[in-house]
This record gives sequence, C-alpha cells and structure tokens, in this order.
Amino acid sequence: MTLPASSSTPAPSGLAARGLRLGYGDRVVVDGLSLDLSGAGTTAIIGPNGCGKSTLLRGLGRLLKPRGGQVVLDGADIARMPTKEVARRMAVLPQAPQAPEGLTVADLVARGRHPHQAWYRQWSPGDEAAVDAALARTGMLEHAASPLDELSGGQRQRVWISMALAQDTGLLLLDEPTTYLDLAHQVEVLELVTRLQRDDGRTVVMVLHDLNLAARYARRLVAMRDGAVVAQGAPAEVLTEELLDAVFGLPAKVIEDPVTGAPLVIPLGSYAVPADTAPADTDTDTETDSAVGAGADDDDAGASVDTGADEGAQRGR
Amino acid sequence: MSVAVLPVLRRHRTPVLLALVLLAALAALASVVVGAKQVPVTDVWGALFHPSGSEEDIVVRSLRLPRTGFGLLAGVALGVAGALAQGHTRNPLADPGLLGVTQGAAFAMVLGIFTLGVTGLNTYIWFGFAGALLASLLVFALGGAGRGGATPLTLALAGAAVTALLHGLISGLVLIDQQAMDTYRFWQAGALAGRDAGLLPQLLPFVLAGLVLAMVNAPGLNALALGEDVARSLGHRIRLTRAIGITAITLLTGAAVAACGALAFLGLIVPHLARALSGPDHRWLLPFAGLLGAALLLAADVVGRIVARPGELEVGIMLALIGGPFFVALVRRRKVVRL
Repeated sequence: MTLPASSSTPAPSGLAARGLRLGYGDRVVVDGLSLDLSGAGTTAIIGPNGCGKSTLLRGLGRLLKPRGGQVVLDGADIARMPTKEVARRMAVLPQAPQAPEGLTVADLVARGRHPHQAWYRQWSPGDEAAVDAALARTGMLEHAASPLDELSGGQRQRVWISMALAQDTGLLLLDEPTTYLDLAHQVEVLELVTRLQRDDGRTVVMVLHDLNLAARYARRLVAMRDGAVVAQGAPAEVLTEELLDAVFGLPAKVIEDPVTGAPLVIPLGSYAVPADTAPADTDTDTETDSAVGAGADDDDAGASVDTGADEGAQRGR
Repeated sequence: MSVAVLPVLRRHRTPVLLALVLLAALAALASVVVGAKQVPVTDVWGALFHPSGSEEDIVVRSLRLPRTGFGLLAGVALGVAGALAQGHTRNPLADPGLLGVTQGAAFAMVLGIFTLGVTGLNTYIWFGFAGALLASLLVFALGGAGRGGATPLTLALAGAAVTALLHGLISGLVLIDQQAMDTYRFWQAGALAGRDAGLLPQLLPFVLAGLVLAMVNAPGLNALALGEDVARSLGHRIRLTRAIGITAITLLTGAAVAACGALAFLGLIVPHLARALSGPDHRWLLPFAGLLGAALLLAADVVGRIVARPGELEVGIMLALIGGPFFVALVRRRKVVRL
C-alpha cells in the first residue's frame, strides 16, 4: 500500500447511483434512483424534510446497505470493495456527529488516518503529516491540543471536516454540514468546503437545508421529493418558482442574488409583516387566531406563526 | 512539515502507565506480606526464592501466592472487561455482567451441584466458565435475532432478560438444595482465598487470549465512540469489531467470575478511574483499567484481612464497602462521563 504524497491534490472521483433502492425496516425511502455525481465540483442535494436526501447520502456513502441497485465508485460496485479501500477514496461525514468527552482535536483527526493504517503499521510520519496538513487547511492547527467540547460549534465542525480531510480522499460527502450553526458559521463552513473543492480539486456532495446557501455554493443542485430526483442542474435552472411550488409546496419568488447572481428564494407568506408597518396594527387583530392555526398546520409558514404569537402577546397585555 | 500535533498525541501517558504497574506490584506485594500470620518481608523473600519448608514458607507459597495470583488475574480481567463493555455500549453504567456472563456462570455451578452433586471447587469452576460462555452465546443469538442484527441496545436487553431468567432459576434451585445454597452464597460475594493454585495456569490462557483480543479491539472501539456511521465511513468493520469485543468480554469475565465469584462493582468503577487518567483513547484506557483493576482488587483483599482480625471479610464485601461510597463520590464530583 502506497500513500499519495500527503493531502495535496487527490484526483477527482466518479460516483454514481444505479437503480438504487434504500430503506429502513419495512419502509422503502428511495426506489430505483439513478444519479451521476462524477467530476470535480460541488453538488448540493436539496428537498423537503423526509424526502430521502439524507438516506440517499447514506446510501452513496455505504453507511446504508442498498436493497437493490448499486453505488458505483470509480467504475466498481462499492458493495464489493473492501470498506477500507472505499474509505481511502471517499470520506463521509454524518449529520451532527458526536465525540466522547475529553477527546482532543488532534486525537479525533488522527482517527481519520485509519484507512491508511494496518495492524502492523499503526502510526507513521505520513499519518502525522496528513493530520498536520488537515488541521492547517481548516485553520484549526492552533487548537490541536484542545478538547473538542471546549470549542464553538463552527470550530467543531471544522475539526470534523479536518478528520475527513485526513482520510485523504478525492471525494467528500457531507450530510448537512451546517446543522445547528448560526448564519456566520454556516457561511464559514461552506466557504471552507468551497476552498477544498476549488483549490484541491475534490468532488463534494452535500445535503443542504438552506436553499439560498445551496444556490450560492453548489455548482449543481439535485432536488428530491418522495425519494426521487425531480430536477438537477445548475442552480439557476433548478431553483425556479414552479419547482419550489412542486417540490416544497412553497409559494415563493425567485430573484437574482445581488451579490453572486445566483437565484435567491424569497418565500411568500400571507401574514409576513411589511417592513414599513407599525407593529400594533388593529386590522390584523381579527386574523391573529387564524394565523396561529395556519402556522400549526404548515411548518413553512414560520414567519406568520411568529407574527401571530407576538401580536397575541401584545394584545394580552 | 511541522510536527505540531506530535506532543498532543503523545502526552505523558507512559509515566502514568509505569506508575500503575508499580501500584499493582505494590498491591501484590502487600497481598503476599499482610495476613493473619505476621511474616516479615525478608522471610517472604526467602519463602519465594529459597524455600526452607518452614511454616512461614508454607503460608506464603501455598496460601498467599495463589491468592495474589487470582487477584491479579481477576482484577486485570474484570477491569479490562468493564472498559470494553462500557466502550461498546457507550453506557457509563455498563459492567462485565452485561451479557449475562456472571449469572450464566452462577447458574451452571448451581446446576452442577444440584444435578451431578459436584463438590470440589476445581470442578465447578469449569462448570462456571462453560456456563459463562453459553450464556454469552445465548445473549448474542437473542440480541442478533431481530432485523437490525446485534446492536448494543438489543444485546443489553437480551443480557438483562437472560440474567433475570437465570437469576430466577438459581433462586429456585438453591431453595431446594442446601449445598448449592451454601456454595452459591459464598460465590456470590466473591473471594480470592482457598482456590487451588493449579487452576491459575489453566485459566491463564483464556485471560491472555481475552487481553489480546481487547487490545486488537482498541482502535475499533475508538472509532465506535464516534458513532457507527463515522466508524463505518472510516473503513471499520462494525460487526467484526463487535464480535471481537464480545468474545473478549466473555473470556475475561467468564474466567474471572468462575474462579473468584461475582465481584460486583469492580468492572463498573475501575473503567471510570482509568478513564480519568487516560482520556477516551482505548489503546491507553484498556491497559490502565487492567492495572487499576488488579491494584484495587488486591488492595480490597488486603484490607479485608486487616479490618476483621482475627477473621477476614471476603473481598467481594470489601469491594462493595469501598466501592459503593467511592462511586457515589466519583459521580458527585464530576458528572458521569459521556461516552
């Protein structure tokens, strides 16, 4: 087994699903899905809650055994490859991973070297250099000795990404890497992921919840609904008002992002407060109850729920 | 390339390891020296290396040495098995009896006494060991019967069910058979004294095999601590890792409890102590737990010889007396570590 020269530029990898069937227990979540994710670039998988996007990512990353069909990595069926061999080509980061208390940053990232180790060769200078390089890449080298639980959420996510980088793979699968992060840290993590893709030539596939961030940071979007791919392509082709209505059931306006030119989704809601109206508007009083009722029915109408609740509280005083 | 991560990865754990070796050695020495009969250290030395057949020599060689040997064997085994059990289940309250091993041993012994009239300690220890292995296999079969295969949760549930069932059967048998009752009572408390030294070399290969498997299991356990998904994505084979761990727990616990009794608490407390010194890395945690287990078990045994002179308190009772409050203090001082 030879090591590629540290973690500089792994070759872009080909990953594809062919007639993939995935599920848990009696429930089939994804059925007969085919998707080609080859070539360098960033692909974001989007879709409503429960549409099977995380299940698909788990299937692609062989964390979930397919019921049918196959996942093909660099021309070979992933189910027939030794799992360590897969781990040398593809790193998978699940959603919100947990580490035991007291584990240090360097210890965690060092565990990413397992695919390159064997029982007769546990720890080599090459492993050392890879851990070093991974931490330097994410700007976490100075925290190498810190326990993970003393870091902020954004830093912790950077450490997990460092562990995936230490695996030294051409392919990176990330399941909602921005979960639980505030907007600033979400942007920070996605900027980092983009650097890893653009500068190092990695192929990145990630599940993202935030449509606007997905449109901004991914070159290709894959939109899913009910376990099937509904649309895929450049963000401007995929993120249309018709698709948002069909996939998310969300009436929305799509405008051009003034910063990047990417599509920007503006959800339409009946009870959104116009910016220039005063907070206590007597006209909306009669509608408050129905606003709360509507909010309970529909998750996506979050803005109107807040408005209704606030006004209700004010009225009560 | 700089080596900035090197000092972090190799913190001063080697000196701690050496200190623990010393601690275990001191406990072993105390176990040979201290007892109802006062034997000066110089005479102990003489008894070990230049035996003359004196009374002191016989006490040291035929009573205290085997007793110390069983203490080392059971202490190391239960310490390591406890750390493995907690690591695999990611449950800080897991102990080596998790897989029904302890009750399996007890049931087989009681059954042996009841049906075959087995009397000698040497014989029913083997019954116990066989019972431990069978109970573990049964738990593994039950826990793996569902669709998801054997997971820590299904194994723990199967272990609890088998333990409860066997406990009921034991209670029934000892009610009928007075001799089984007496044997079971003493076994239940746990003791190091009165075992035949000849058993040590017979049990040793099982314990050694268990220890080797445990160390082989360490990197896999480290990965499992990050969750099964992360472990799998790092290229670990989850089923193999679990199977190795369960085999190691069974061999270690089976040998220890068959020879020395249930010895409650040891496998529960020791991993927590060891983890405070080693951190969450199982490659260090497992040896630390083994050494601490031996040191604590032997120390409890020695204290048991002193506090109730001229009689003795059995080591299992001493462990509960020391271990209970100690565990409460540990939990109060810092919340039980999240695994």
